[in-house]
Amino acid sequence: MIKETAQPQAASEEPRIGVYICRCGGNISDVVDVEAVATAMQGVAGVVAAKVNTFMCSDPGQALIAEDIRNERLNRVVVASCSPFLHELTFRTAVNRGGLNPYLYEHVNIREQGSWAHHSDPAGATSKALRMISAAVGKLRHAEPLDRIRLSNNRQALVLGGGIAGLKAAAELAGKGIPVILVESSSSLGGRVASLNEVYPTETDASDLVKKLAAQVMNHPLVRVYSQARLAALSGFLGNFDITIAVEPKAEAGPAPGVPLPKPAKAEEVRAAVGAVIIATGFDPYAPRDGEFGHGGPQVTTLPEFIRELRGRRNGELQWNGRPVRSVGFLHCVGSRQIEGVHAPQADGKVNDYCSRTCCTAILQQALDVKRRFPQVNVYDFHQDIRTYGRGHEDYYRNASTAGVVFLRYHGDEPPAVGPGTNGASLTVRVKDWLTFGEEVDVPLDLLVLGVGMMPRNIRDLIELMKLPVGADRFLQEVHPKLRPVEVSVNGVLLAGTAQGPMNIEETLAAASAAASKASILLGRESVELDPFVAEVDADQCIGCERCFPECAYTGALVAEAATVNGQAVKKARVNPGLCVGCGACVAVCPTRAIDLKGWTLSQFDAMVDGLVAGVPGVELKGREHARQTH
Amino acid sequence: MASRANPDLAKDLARFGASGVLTCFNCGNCTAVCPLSEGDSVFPRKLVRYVQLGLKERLVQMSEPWLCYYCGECSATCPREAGPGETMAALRRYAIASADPSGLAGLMYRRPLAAVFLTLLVAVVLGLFLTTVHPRHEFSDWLFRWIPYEVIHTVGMVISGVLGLFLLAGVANVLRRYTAGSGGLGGLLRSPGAMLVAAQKTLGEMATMRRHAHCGDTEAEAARPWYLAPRWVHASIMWGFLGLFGATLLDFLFIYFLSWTAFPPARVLGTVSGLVMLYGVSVSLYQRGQGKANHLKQSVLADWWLLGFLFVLADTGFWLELAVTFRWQGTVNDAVLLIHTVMAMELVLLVTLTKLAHALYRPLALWLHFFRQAATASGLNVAQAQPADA
Repeated sequence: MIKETAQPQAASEEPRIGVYICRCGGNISDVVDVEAVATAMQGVAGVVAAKVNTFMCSDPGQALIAEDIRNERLNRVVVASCSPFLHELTFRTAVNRGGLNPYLYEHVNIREQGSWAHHSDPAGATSKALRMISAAVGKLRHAEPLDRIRLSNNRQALVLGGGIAGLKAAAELAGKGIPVILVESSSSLGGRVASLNEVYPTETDASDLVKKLAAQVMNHPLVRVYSQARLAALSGFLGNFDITIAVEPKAEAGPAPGVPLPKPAKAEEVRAAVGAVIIATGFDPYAPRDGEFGHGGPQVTTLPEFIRELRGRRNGELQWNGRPVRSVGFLHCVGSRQIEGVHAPQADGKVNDYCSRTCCTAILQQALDVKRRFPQVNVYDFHQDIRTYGRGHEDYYRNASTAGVVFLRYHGDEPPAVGPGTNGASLTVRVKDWLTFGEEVDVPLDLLVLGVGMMPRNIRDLIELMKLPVGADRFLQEVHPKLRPVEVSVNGVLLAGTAQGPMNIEETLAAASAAASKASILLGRESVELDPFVAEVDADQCIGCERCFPECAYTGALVAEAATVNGQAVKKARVNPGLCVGCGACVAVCPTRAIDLKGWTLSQFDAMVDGLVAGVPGVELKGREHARQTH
Repeated sequence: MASRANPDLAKDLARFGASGVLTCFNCGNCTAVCPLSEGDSVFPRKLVRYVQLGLKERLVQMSEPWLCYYCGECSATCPREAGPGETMAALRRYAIASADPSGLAGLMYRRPLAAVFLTLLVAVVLGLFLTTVHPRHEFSDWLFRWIPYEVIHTVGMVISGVLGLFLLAGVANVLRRYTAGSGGLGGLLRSPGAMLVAAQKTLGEMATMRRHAHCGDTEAEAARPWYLAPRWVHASIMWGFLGLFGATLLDFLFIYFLSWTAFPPARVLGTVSGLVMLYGVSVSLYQRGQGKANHLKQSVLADWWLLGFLFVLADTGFWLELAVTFRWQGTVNDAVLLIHTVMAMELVLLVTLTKLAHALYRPLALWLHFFRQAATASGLNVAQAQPADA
């Protein structure tokens, strides 16, 4: 990684630029005349060395740069090779090793944007390479050495939500010695899991799980838990969040499931400073509309309600609303994998087209449980697919099947219809069953259990407050599902559990652990380091016109400071480097060119345009493009 | 109209020998490996699925159980060990029971004790009846002081009549059900040509069991000598049985109506047929006792019942033949004669209730199968359409 260089770089120093052109083992040199480019660049003012190498990224290639920095006293370096995604960091580091500031380096892509793109026009590709390198040289002439931004770090974390994800994250952070503020909106810990019975695939008691996690958190001196509380305000950035927690005691209907918390004495607002925030606000079970698959009728229920009702009931006769149940059906994908035009949209006009992932195994677990506890009850399972994807989950399917659960398969665009029962049954499910070759089958039932999926919770206030990115499925969205799975685009904010999307308990706990370790990495440093490419305001040039403020999309990135210009009170802009992302929106509207982006200054852009237009003075540009222009 | 799921059917069929049906996960391997499933007659998966859901109306209209010769390849291949082959066998028993209007067949399959009781009861009634035809023994003289001979005779005749009616009703039931999906019996009459072609094919198939040659096309089967293969073992039982049936009829014709003492061609036919059948039955009993072959891993009382009857009939038949040849006299011979006659009569009388009913229903199903093939080939739209709703 890039470390700050010890040598001070005099910006006023006369530029001594080294240009290195990579053949990429023929990938570039088969099309671009690299030797000619090097020769042409040698004649450009300020270019001290222009060399060609077969693989610049190889150890000898990198050593060549470091050697020239020493021997030729280079103070700027250009490498023309592949995409910067591949090797920009490689060469910045190489330049740094040679003793230069790493930001006095420019990377030119003459492979993806040159030889590969213009394979049939070598002369044109050569001219283009010349123009691009010339632009980079021009940009470097105006380059200043830059330092990475360092910010102080409040080594304390905020965890939003006291379900298993929040509990796990808090416990792990505290275990690492990091103080945690845990904010829970209800009056107990444990969240949704607290309402479950035995959980798959281990068949452990959910309340044991919750009790264990809650004990780890509540007994830890580094964790402060606020119950019946919410995050009321948040400002700042990674390492420097200022938060306000509003504690709002309210009467609750009955004892909530889970581990009860002491009731707060009074309403109050608590202010604190934290370095990272973990969002573990969880999900809501899908609430079927009235009449959706018979919901609202006495013999139709949802899976969470069914689990709650069966808690503690052992053997004997299965009854529902006082009626003996001889046949029970479980319907998969209620509120999940919805299809536009088939299912009624949700309140926001969208359908839930995602799979909720947990319901298949949860349903099979319940179906098997019914079959074991009440062997005389007939159990039917209506599914689109069986997605028992986790370790040990498939056993539930196999065991349910061998225990005599009858499976029927419907297609998503022809969901089963629930109608009144006949011959003493409470209701009838009519399904076009594709395991029976698409024939319509009426299944008489005494109870239908709707396998409701997961819905994103209504956390609009939090999303607005923290500028959180939301995916098409309306769950919170990570930066990259594989490379940065628990981070969001707001630095210092992490996701744990089902706020991000449907997960089962194992996955939720893994995500919570990941978020906690990511947070402990961020909070483990004395200070926070950021790339230097942020805006900078020249206070002398700023006239206080305030045009930049409405352009800034990042709250707090541009700070207004009172000043006097020509005897008038105005607000001048100042950049908070911790919040600025370097988008350049403010630069574009500034009438006096008072704002510049470090590493991408306006004078650098001017020089780049000159380089692109002119190429290399005295060198004729060839290729189809130029031929067309001439004739 | 949708068909209605009925969870009780699978439970009921378990008593007929289909125990693993619910563990099936509908992969279709059984149908894929079945050498006889083809075209419009796809099995066993389809039937297994109907059993799972309990679509009884569909099942009783399907002649497919009779198109299966039960090689057991499907059961050996089944990844869930759901026993599709055993389900097909159970469905044949269920078909026999469903076609029987008395309900006795169902009772016999569901409750083996009832089967034993009924067999003994009929044997006793028949025995008493027969001992009164030529009352020579003191026992019968003593008896007829209490029960007049005429009463027993009449009762016997009535029972025979009722069982005859059952036979007719069974055949009619089967025909009606199996044609329900293709325009009923009327649909058959509309294409007499196809009926004839089908009849010819059915006779050919019954004579040779050519389709059976496709069954059990495995290495284990190939290693077995042809004379122990299921096709020829079954053929020897069937031809032996038919030959003995014919010999008995000839005997009856010549001895009772023409008063010949013995008709040599009938004697020769009977002896050869008896030997052939005894061979088939003995091999079959032995193989079933071993229970090694795929199709013999599960045997129910009905299987033993039929083989047992045929075995005893063949043995007693030879005894009687020797007795006639060497002019043996005495009570033992009378007893053997009584047993032989009682069992032969019982076998015929109970034909709609026992496994022997397959000799009626399988040809019927084959005939309908060939009829549909012929009719489809000639462009008539009587191929299995959607089964009608019962």
